[in-house]
Order: sequence, then C-alpha cells, then structure tokens
Amino acid sequence: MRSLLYFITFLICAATFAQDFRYGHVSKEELAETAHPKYPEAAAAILYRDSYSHFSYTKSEGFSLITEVQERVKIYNAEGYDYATKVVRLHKQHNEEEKLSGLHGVTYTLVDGDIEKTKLRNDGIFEEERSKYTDAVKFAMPNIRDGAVIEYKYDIRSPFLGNLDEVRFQERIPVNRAEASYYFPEYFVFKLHSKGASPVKIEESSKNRKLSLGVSGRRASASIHSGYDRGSRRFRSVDFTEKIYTMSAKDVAPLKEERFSGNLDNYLTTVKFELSYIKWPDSPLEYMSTTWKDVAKTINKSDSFGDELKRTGYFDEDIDKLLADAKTSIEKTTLIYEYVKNRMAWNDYIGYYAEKGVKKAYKEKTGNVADINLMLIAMLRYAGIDANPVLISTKANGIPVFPTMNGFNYVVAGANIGGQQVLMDATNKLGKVNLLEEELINWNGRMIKEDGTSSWVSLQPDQPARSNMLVNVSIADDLTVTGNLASRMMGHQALNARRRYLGLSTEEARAKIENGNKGAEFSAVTFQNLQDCSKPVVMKYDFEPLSGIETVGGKLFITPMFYLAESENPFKLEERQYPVDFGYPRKDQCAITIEIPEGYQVESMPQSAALKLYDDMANFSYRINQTGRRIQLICERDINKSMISPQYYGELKQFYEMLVKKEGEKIVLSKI
Amino acid sequence: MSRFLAFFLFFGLVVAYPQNPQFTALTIDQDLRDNADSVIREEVITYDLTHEERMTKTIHRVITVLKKAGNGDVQAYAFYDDDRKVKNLSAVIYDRTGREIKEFKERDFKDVSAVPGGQLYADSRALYLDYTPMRYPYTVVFDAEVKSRTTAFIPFWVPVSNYESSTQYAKLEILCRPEDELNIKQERLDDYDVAYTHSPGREIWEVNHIKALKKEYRSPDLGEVMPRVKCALKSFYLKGVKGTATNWEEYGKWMDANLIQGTEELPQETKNTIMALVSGLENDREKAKAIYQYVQDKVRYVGVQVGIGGWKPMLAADVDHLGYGDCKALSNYTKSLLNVAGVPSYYTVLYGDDSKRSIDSDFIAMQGNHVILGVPLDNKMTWLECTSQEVPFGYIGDFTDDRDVLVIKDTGGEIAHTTIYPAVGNRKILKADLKLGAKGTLEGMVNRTSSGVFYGDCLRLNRLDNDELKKHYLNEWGNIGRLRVKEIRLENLRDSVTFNENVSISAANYLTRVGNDYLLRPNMFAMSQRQLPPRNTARKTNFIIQRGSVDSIQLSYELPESLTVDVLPGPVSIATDFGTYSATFSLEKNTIIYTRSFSLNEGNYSPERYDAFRDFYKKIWHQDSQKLLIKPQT
Repeated sequence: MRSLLYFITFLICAATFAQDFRYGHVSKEELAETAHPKYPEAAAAILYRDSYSHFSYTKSEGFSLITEVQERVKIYNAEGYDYATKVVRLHKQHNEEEKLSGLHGVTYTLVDGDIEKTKLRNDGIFEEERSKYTDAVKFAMPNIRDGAVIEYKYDIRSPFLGNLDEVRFQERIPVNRAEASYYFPEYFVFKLHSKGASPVKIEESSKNRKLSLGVSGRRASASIHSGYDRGSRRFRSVDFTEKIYTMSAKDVAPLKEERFSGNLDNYLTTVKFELSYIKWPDSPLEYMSTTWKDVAKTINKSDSFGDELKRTGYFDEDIDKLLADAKTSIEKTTLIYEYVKNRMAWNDYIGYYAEKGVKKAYKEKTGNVADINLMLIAMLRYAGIDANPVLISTKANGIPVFPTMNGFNYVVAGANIGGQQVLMDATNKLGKVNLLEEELINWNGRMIKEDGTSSWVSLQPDQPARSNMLVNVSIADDLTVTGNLASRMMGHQALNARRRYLGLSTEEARAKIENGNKGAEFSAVTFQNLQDCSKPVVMKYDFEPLSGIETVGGKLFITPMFYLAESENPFKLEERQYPVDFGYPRKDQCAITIEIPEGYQVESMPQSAALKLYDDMANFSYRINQTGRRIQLICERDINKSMISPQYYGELKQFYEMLVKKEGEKIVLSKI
Repeated sequence: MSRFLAFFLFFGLVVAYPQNPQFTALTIDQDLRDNADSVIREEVITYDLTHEERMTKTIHRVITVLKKAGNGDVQAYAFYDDDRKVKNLSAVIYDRTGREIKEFKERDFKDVSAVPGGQLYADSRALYLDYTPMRYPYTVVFDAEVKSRTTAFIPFWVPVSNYESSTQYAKLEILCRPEDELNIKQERLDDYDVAYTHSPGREIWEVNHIKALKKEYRSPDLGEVMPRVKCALKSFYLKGVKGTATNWEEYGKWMDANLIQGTEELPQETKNTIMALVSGLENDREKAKAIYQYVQDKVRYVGVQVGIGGWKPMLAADVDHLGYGDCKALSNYTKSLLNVAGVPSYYTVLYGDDSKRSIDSDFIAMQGNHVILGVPLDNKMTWLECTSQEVPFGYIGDFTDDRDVLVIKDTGGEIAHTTIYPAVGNRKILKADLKLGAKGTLEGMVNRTSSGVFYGDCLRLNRLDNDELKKHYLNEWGNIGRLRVKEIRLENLRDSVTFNENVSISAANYLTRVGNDYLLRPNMFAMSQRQLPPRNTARKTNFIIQRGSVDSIQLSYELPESLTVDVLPGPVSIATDFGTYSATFSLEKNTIIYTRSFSLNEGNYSPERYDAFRDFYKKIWHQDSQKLLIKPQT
C-alpha cells in the first residue's frame, strides 16, 4: 500500500516536472514548438505565470507588500511580438510609491538545434512618469523571432497594503499554466474576489511566522495607503500566523473579442484580493471593506468623501437665494442640479474621492466628478432633500459584483423625491435630472447613506429613449423624390442629438446629417430646444433620397422607408458568448406618408407585420395601408430591455434579419 | 454736466480696472469668426541665433477659443530634454469680456513624458497647460522661452494654427549674427499680404487678418494652402555638433560623417552568418534579397527615440543584440549587413505619410520624419522599408511612394524619387461565379486579386485568424441579406506582389421578392453608398486624388430553371477627367454576365470642379444600384 502511494506520488511529480517552470529552465521542446497544440491559431501563449505576494517588515518602512512575478511566454509568430514588450504600472500617492526591482529577462531561441540566450539589458528597459498617480516601467525583450520563448521576473514592493493587482488566469492568448500564492499575516484580513468562467483551483492553509520588530510599532490610525511605521505600541518580536492561499489553473482557453460586448476584461478569469480589515493584537478591528456596511462606513469616514458631504458654509447664501421662491422638492432639486451643472466645469478626472475639496472647487468653479457631485448632494441635503451618493463603476471599469471600494470609480447623486428615485450627474453639461450618460449605465449603483447603510439602485432610465418621426414623401412626374421629416427626440436620443449638433452652424449640422446618412441629400435643417435640456429636441429637414426608387420594366419599385430603413443586420456572427448591450431601452416610431404620383396605381404593397422577441424584450411593427392617393406606413422599433443575454442571441439575430427584410420590401406602382 | 461726466468716469474706471480690453473676445471681426473654432489674436515667435551654438525661441501667443473644438488649438506646451531647456513659461486665462480668470506659472504646468503613440520610449518630456474651460469664448495668453544647443531646426512658419482657425496678427522674427547665411524659402506670401522686412541679422515676417478655412473632403495639408516660410542656417549645430548645409552634397557628407559613420560595426559572428548566407548567390539583387529576408525574420519595429535629437541611428551592434529598433536603427542595420556582403546601399531620409509629402529640394536643411534604405541594383534604386516584417523585397506601398527623398552617400547627399505606383498597377479584380436558387438564395465563389498599393492594404488580412477574417467579409459585404462566409483561402504571392482572396459564400435573401417576381441587384460587391463624397456647398480648397486605380468586377449569375430575366439594361459608359466607368449586361443561356470597370485618375483639382466630381460618383452609385426583374419561367 505504502509503495503504491509512493508510486502515485512519483507519478504526479513526474507529470508535474515534465515541464520545468523554474526560472532559467527553458527546454528545447518548448523552443521547438511551432504552434500551440490546442489552439493552433494562437500567435503567442503564456507557458507559465507565477505571482507570489507576501509581507515584509522593516523598522524604517513598517510593513510592505511584496509581489514577485515570473512569466514564461512563447512567441509563435509576428502577430505575437507585442507580448515581448511588457508595461508594468506602478502606483504612487501621498509621497509614497511602488518600486520595481530585480528585473531580469532572457530571450531563448533555437539556433541550429542549440539553445541561444539573449539577456535583457539596461538598454531595453525604460522608465516613464505617466501621471500624478502612475509610473511605468517598460521593457522590450531582445532578439525576438518566431518560436522564441521569453522569460522574465521582477519584484514589486508596495507601501499600499490594500492594493493587490489582479492576477489574470486568462488572456486573449492561451495560458498553459498560471499560479498565484499569497501569504497574509493574520493582522491583515483579505477578501478574495474571483470572476470568469474558467476553473481556478484554490487552496487555503496557514503557518506560523516570527518577526522581530525592534522598538517600534504601528501608527494608531493606519490608512489603507500608508506603511505601518510609527506609533505607540512597543514590542521586540512577535509570533503570528499567516494565512496562505495558493491557486492554479491549467490550459485556459483564450478569450476572443466580439462586437457589442462592452469591456472584454469583464469576462476574463481573474483573482483579486482586497484588504477587508486590519486587526492588531489588543486593538479593535479597522475595517477597510468586507461587507457593504463596511464599504459605506469606510467611505463615509474618509475625509475626501464623508467630510466633503458635511461642508455647507461655502454655498448657503447662494442656495438660499436660488431657492427663495421654490416650493416643491422636485422644483428645488431641478434648480440646484441646474445651478451646479451650469456653475461647475468638469476637469475630465473621474473618481469618487474629491480632488480639490468641494469648497475650493466651488470657488474655482471646476473640479473632478466627486468635487462636483458631492457638492450637489450637500446642497440638496441643505435644501431638505433626501439625497445620497451613488457609487458607480463605469463600463470601461467593469462590473462591481463584490462588496468593494476599488470596484467603483464614479459617484453621482441620488435623491428620493416622494418615493421616486432620481439620479443626477452635474458634470455633464447636456445632462438632466434622471438622465445619465450611457457609459454610466452599468448594472447597478450602490447608494451610500449617512447612517452607514447602503443598497443597490437601478441605473436604468425609468423612461425609454424616444424618437418620433413624421415623414412626407412626394414623387414628381420625372420620378424625382422629395420629402420632409420632423423628428422629436427624448431621453438619450435627445442627449445624442445635443452632443452631435449643439454649437454647429446650420451648414455644419446639415453636412453631419448627410455624412451619417449617405442615402439622401439634405437641406433646410432646423433644430428646436438644442440648448434647453428640459425639452425634447425637434429636428426638421428636407431630403432627396439617392436610392429607394427605381423603374424596372415600366413599373415603379419603391422602398417606402428610403434611407431610414435598416439596411444591414448588425448581428453577423452565428453565436455569441456575451450579452448584447444596447445601452438603454428605446422606442423609435416612424410615420411615413407617400403621395402616389399622377398616372400610377398601386399594384402591390408589402403586408403589415409585427414581430416580438421573447418576453417583449424587443418589438417591431410595420403597418401599411392605402387611403385614396396616399400610402401610409407606421413603423415601430422598440428595444425594451437594454441587456440581452447570450441565450437569446439567436432569436435576436433572427429578429433583426426579419426586420431588415421587411423594411427593404417594395411597393410596386404600375401605370394606369 | 460735470456730475454726469464724473459718474461716467467713475463707472468707466470700475469696469475697466480688472479688464484687459485687448483680450476680450467681443471685438473679433465677424469674418474672422466665420468657420473658426479659435482665433489667434496675436502671435509673435522669435528665434534668437545671435549666439553661436545656441538658439533661443520665444513665443507669445494670444488665442481666443470660440468653442470646444478649438481647445486643441491653444497649444500651450513646451517640449524639453537634455538639450532643450524651458524658461519663463506662463499662461493667463481671460473670460469673454477680457477679465482675468486664472494665472498659471511654470510650476502649474503638467509635466509629462512625451512619448507619441506607437512609441516605446522617447527621452523628451513636455510641460503643458491643463486648463478646464468653464465658458466659451475664452482667451489664453501663453508665453514661453526654450533654449537649446541645436540650431539646425527652425520649424516652418505657418501663421495659422489649424483648419477652422483664423489669425488676427502673426509675426516671425529671426535674429542672427550679421555674418550668418540663411536659406530662406517663402511660399504664397503675396496671396495673404505677408510683409517681409530684411536687414542684416534680422528677418521679419508679419501678417494680418487670415480668415479660417474649413477642412473639406480630400483637402490638401494646411501647410500647402497657407503662407509658409522655411528658414535655416547654412551653418548650424545639432546638439553642439557643427554642420553646414549650403548644398545637398555637403549636407549629406556631414550627415554621413556625424550621424552614420561609426554606427555600423557588427559582431564577427553576425558577419560570418551573412557571408555564409550570401555565399553562392550570383548577384547583388539575390544577396540583397536574402539579407532583407534575414532582417525581416530577425528584427521587429519598436519605437525608441534617443540619440542626437532623435537623429542618430542606434548602433548596428545593438540592433543585432536587441533584435529591434526604430526606422533609423533598422535601416542602418540592414545597410551594415549589406555592407558585409559587399552590396552598397544608402541611408535615405524622407517624409513617411500617405499624402506623398516630398523633401523640399530647393530648401537645404534638415527635413524628414522617416528613414528607408536605397539599394542601387541594375542602374536603378530599389527601396527597402526596413520596419516591416511582411512586405516583399522592394515593395514600399503608400507610406513612402512617389516623392522626393534625400539619399545619403559618403560622397554627399542627393535628391532622388521613390517608386511610383501607376494607376494601371493599382488594380483590384473581383470575379465571382454565382448560382441563384429558386427561392432567391445565392451560392458561389468570390475571387479578388489586388496589386500595387492595394497589395499593401491586403497584408493586414494575413494577420487575422479565421474567425476575424469571417467577420471582415461579413462586414465588407454586409448589405447582402443573410450572408454566410463558408471558406476563405488567402494567397500572398510575394514574388509577383499580388494578393488573392478566395471566399466561398452563400446568402439566403439575395433576391428581393416582389409579388411573384424577384428583384436582383447584380452589383453587391461594388462601391458602397458610404464612398459617396460628401456634398460641400461653396467649396474653398482643392481636392486631391492621391493615387490612380483600376477596379474591375466580373460576375456571373446562373439562374435556376424556374426563373428567367425580364429585360437586360443596355451598356453604360461614363467618361470624365476624374476617371471612367463602364458596365455591361449580357445573357448566355440562363446565366447573366455582368461586368463593371471603374478607373480613377490621380490629380489635384480646383474647388469649382468638386460638384462635377461628386456628380460622377453619384452617377456611378445610381448605375451600381441598377436592378433586374427576375420572373418565373412561363
């Protein structure tokens, strides 16, 4: 029995060591491989990735977090050469910074059956200051050619104990093997977040560790961004346990980009740790975040969030004046929102922590997202409105599924007006109450209340975006077609129109419309309410279609929607792995009246039809009839649900196929 | 009366005190506002070259931004590196009435690394003004002084910041020692009433009131439309290294001696490899071809801008070790390898840009932004683009074709002209044999052959995997209802510089049903509506067709037995100065044959011809949308 066990152990070891992942042990087999055995189209593959995070302690610096990274990458062909250039981002803040050290790299190539090594030297390593908050170390591996294997390793020493980088077990190329291990002293309690569809094996264990600390201790109120270097507690050495996580994944499939998928990184298999709380011996817990309650508590306590919400003295006179005649809550809310929106210029920085502080921002009339929206919330509260910050993760930032602060990167104001929830973002000059940018409508937002409670709020607009078009078409004796259109746009459709046309001259707007609709020529363009965000935008123009009518064999064939018809199915792939994101629900209606030209009669018309996608997620209707010398068509397209899960992709594709076909159908007129 | 006057005085003082009337946006003439996103109110640029080996540039710019699109015209930034030092940097912002809003000192400017897109590293940095405008219009007064030990580049003076920007007043002043000689080239000064005054050691150009021009479809570069002054010292310094440029020969010699020589040394091992590689090869062409392939297999392009002002190539030995470099490094490396094999080649400086920008041969000075290699073979120069790992030997494509370039030889510099791709060679031929089904379906094989500049465009297809390729064709022919792409075969014929695409397709909704009949649009692969040039009312700028081309299509549609075609349209041919178009239909048994040919001529046309140009496209679009009536066989 025992020998059997040995045998099995041996077998496992043999299997594991078939490939030697120790740094420097690149094999001829790895170099000789010309295509990935499982994914032959791959241009490169991660053969091995290892990330090892642990804490070190020095008397002068206190605790710091060390992450040791090692990677081995196979380059199959020129499309994979980008993987031979690596950029490592280093965070810095409050005079503290992450540092990269111990960077070594070697490119292995096979020359006449022998392994040739080319070392990464200083001339291939570049440092760059990216912004106030980020430095970058870039390196380009030398001597890259088809078939090369590169290997590199480096350490990152970080004073930001809560700031562990996400480890990716999946990439856009295959990952053959990836491992990560974490050793956390018991004082630092981390929470694990993992996402993605590929399996990652995770094991937990613990171990004792002894540290000699010298006569020093910790700072009493440690913040997440600081080393633990000064303080009152004195002890020389300490025993503690470390919690150990080891995780690994093998043969992870590459993730491929598809259209309308939003941010692909949302779907990669990754693991990330976040510091939940710090527990020093004989001290109360210091929560960083772990539950939503802790998130709310931490964020409310922070001076660039909670404190900023409490300041009022800087605006009270202005707001008193502003609200002198306002009576209802909605009136007050709108007045305050418009006031902040018009007064403040957004400096293009996002975040949920105030950058300048609301008071200074108010005075200077410019600030980041938090400066502006926290100020708005403070004013609303001052006016007696039940208003709270709502944390959001923008689409580019991914989806915040876990109780975490780092998952968010934006804050808006949420107000409860007579039981109705309204959301506001005063950084958007074209915004209005309850109309957020599409980029912000990303799942749900988390409302953080003063009392430390928090809850999810829906970011979906309560009304669909609408556009209603009235179109008249007449056909002259020489068969030239002219028409006019009046379109009334609301919600996001109005927002889009404002972004596109505000500030343009009539001619510029005309050219823009014509560029976007190559099927017709446009003139006499006018707009109403482009400036006044509280009203629907009305756009009117005359047009002459360039196609949509033809004579074949003495008959007239007319596509009644002309250039307004959807001519292509936007969904071209057979299958889809990710949801389709329309951004926001919408209802478009188009009513077209066509005058039948003298001397012609209707020979045939398309049939009226209606389509429905499962559970009313989308509707399409096409109603056409003739009254006297007129043909009238009313066409409606509704997207009622903005996120459509991949299981309905096939039906959605078919829905659009039928819609495109229907809208392309012809009226046939023949001579009387 | 006196009380009245006193009131006015007092009132006037109160208003005037915080305001600077010269900076108000309210006084800008209407004709300078027309089409303008921004207005240069006053710009004075001075290059002080009175101290040998040193250049001090001072800039004072007052610019009013009328709308958001004009923010980019402010250009309140200064580059610096170990050669260039920035001093006296400041900016003051004024509101529309001329009231000061904010002041920025040097320390308030953002300091960032100036690594342009696609580059890995550059050793220059930039200080820039990070200002969020609160209202439009606003005015920025920007001042900066930059000192350097490089006097080789005096940027071309174009006194307008951009298309859609106007200028009230601009001045260029060049101060030098009276004994210094200058090369000066002035263009279109009379068209804009630019005043030029010259005195020993002092050159001044001034201009008033330039109206904004709108950027239009296929407009020329702004520098080719506006007044432009090019000015350079005949005797200059590049980061402290002295040079002279009285003619191209001398200038080329200087470049060769100071930038290239001494960079070409290679390790013995590499030399041996090259000697082995070319041994037995008959002539220089074969050798050059083998070495070019060796370079393509070995190195890759990585943008690293270091060395003398970004002008000195990296050492060939370093490229050999690193296996990467920028255009200078890779061209010079290839040159060094060719040298080992005894094949002469020349480092060639030019402007890489698909608008065919030439080195200005009448203006002797440092010019260009890219480097390729010229190899004299059979009494003709073969040009090698050394940053590409995929193009065939001697193929340069539309980034460097048909333009004047500076060839650096050890005997001196020479102006030469790169390969011209004539219209007849820029050819796309699409052939398809298609079968229609009784229910309006389609099935068949599409074959397309591309050559000339189109060949280079196709190379990117080689980099796509099968799924991505499928998506590519589904998008390109997206107007075909329910298109399916079944099989794709690509052939890159490097020797003949042609690229073949073979795509088998099917479509469920190819024919549009009308009652009992069908409509067939035979031409689904031709020009799409998207290519129609935009309508420009009152066009102001010339329009340029950079390269001529020929696009031909031959399609056959085999009808099922149950269907027949009603009437076939007659042949069409349209001939204009811009190009020609022809289309024919014929019927052989039950197969409809459709041919279409569209050729476009290279040219630079005056704005009044634009409507005719668009009309040509409209006619083609109309012809291309021609439909046939397909009826059941009776």
